[in-house]
Amino acid sequence: MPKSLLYAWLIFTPFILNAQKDMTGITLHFNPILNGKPIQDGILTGHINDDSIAIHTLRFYLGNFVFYKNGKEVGQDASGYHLLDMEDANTMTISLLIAADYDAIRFTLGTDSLTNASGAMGGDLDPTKGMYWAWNSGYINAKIEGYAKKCPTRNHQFEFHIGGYMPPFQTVQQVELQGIAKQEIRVDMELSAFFEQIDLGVTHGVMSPSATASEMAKLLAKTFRLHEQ
Amino acid sequence: MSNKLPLAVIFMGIAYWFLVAASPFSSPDPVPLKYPESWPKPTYDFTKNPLTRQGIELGRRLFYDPILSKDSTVSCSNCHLSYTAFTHVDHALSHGIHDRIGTRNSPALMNLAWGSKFMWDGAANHLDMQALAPISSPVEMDETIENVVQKLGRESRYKALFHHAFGDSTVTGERLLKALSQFELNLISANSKYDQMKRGEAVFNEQENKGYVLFQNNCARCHAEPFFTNHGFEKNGLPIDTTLNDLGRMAITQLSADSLKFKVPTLRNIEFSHPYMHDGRFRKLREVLNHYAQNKELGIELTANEKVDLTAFLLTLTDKEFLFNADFAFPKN
Ligand code: HEC
Ligand code: HEC
Repeated sequence: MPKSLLYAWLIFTPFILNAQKDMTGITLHFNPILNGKPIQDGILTGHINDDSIAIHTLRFYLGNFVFYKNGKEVGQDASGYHLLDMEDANTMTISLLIAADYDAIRFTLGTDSLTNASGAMGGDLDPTKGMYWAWNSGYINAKIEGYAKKCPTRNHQFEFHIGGYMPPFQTVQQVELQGIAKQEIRVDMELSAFFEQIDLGVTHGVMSPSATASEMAKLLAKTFRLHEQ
Repeated sequence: MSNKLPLAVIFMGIAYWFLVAASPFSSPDPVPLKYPESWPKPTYDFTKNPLTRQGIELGRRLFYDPILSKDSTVSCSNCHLSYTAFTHVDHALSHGIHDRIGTRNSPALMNLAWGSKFMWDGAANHLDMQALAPISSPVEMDETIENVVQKLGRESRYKALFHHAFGDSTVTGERLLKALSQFELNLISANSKYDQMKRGEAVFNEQENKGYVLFQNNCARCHAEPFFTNHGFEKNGLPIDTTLNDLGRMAITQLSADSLKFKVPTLRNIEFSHPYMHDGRFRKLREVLNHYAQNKELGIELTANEKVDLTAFLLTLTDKEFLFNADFAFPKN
């Protein structure tokens, strides 16, 4: 490398780094856990309410990321909805670029009503992703499937397809994470908060918008929390 | 060397402009939706899915292609035949794959750009998303959209058609649905004797005129002009068929007030879209009018003569140009 270039590089590098700092990025790693235990061989297992539970499917939409500093909105992300799938680790990390300093993020778990009624969409919202109902239009905002000893169903399966955008059975939820000090953060989803509130002996199949689906959406939103270091 | 490089760049720029940016073949040709000036603006948002010649053509091929079904035996046109206003003529309950019988009569398809809810109970909230239902229904096409997209992506003929319609050959669920919508949106019926009368190009005879007045007084509050539907859900007094127990709109809204409400169907081309009602219970218009003739619930009373006049009016809603439009029929090549 010619010397002049090297000098130029030495002189400008700090500015380049600085410029990148202004354009703050944030990387969010979502990490589903059950009683504190992470995914092993693609499944989450645990003991809850005197029952052994195994979760093999967890898929859900996140979107509408809004950033805050001292309670004031400082920026919004326009990348649309992201489909997160426990089976595909790549999808469990979301990187967003945002030109602001922030200490809190708010986002939606699930899709808003406009998205549900605006016709065919692409990317993560493409109907081939298996997250759209054929017989009663609307996105499935979250799928949770697995097995539990107490389920009186075939193979003890439970299947929760949580969706619905029309009142009174909306399922979209707001999630807020506060006290964000870093650009790379780990967000745990402690699913025991969800399963502790459900009697799998009674409730094991949800396939359409209903009061139960709305209730489950609220429970799922409560599973998000910053990972404690 | 020093002046050759910029020249090459300029040349490549011009070549690119000619080949890609300005090429008449690279972008699909926009097609305006043609409809009578007196009609309101469509409810379909064309900014999200602009009509193009190539998009409509792709949609038409998909509509007529049994590749959309699991064993390649059933296409949309099996139950929606162009010569009968895109309904399943003679079948009270439409049958699909392996002759499995569904629970509802296939509705006529036309002027869909003005609809906002589809299916007899409004289960589909957008025309684009409607097609997911027949594709995945076990009694209709018994397929999955994921699989259809894969099958189409393996066919070079379809890759070319997707390229023409959308600018590249990638087959996606979104594009598949939007292309089907484009073909369906293009199915406009607006040239019946009634339309011609409205435009001053034809005159009604006395019987048709009397029938028109009867229609306006008794039927138009639900079957509103110019679409002959108010696009709403209503109860028209039919007793429930206890072998089907179809509660209509209530299945979607879960409101008991919506029990036995069904989407008000258009009456355009009604001469050809028999059998009638969501379960196809009436084979003849005569039977429909007999149902309405002494209807206390709706407060309708019709004498024998009035039924004849009303029928004469209903027959003015037949649009031969629509029914025999070669652009809507099975693609020949
Ligand atoms: C097996 C018969 C069958 C097949 C195949 C079929 N349909 Fe239908 N179609 C029906 C029936 C029955 C309904 C009414 C369903 C309901 O109300 O639940 C319907 C309703 C519709 C509607 C709603 C019309 C309105 O005004 O509400 C549209 C649009 C439609 N079909 C388009 C299609 C397309 C596109 C395809 C191919 C992808 C297709 N259909 C395949 C039987 C069929
Ligand atoms: C209160 C609203 C209402 C009124 C008034 C009304 N209809 Fe209907 N009509 C409907 C509904 C809703 C349906 C579909 C019902 C079903 O399938 O269960 C229907 C269905 C029909 C059908 C069958 C269409 C098809 O494609 O299957 C015909 C024909 C018809 N009406 C004609 C008339 C005539 C003629 C009058 C006036 C004498 C009239 N209607 C008055 C609401 C109404």
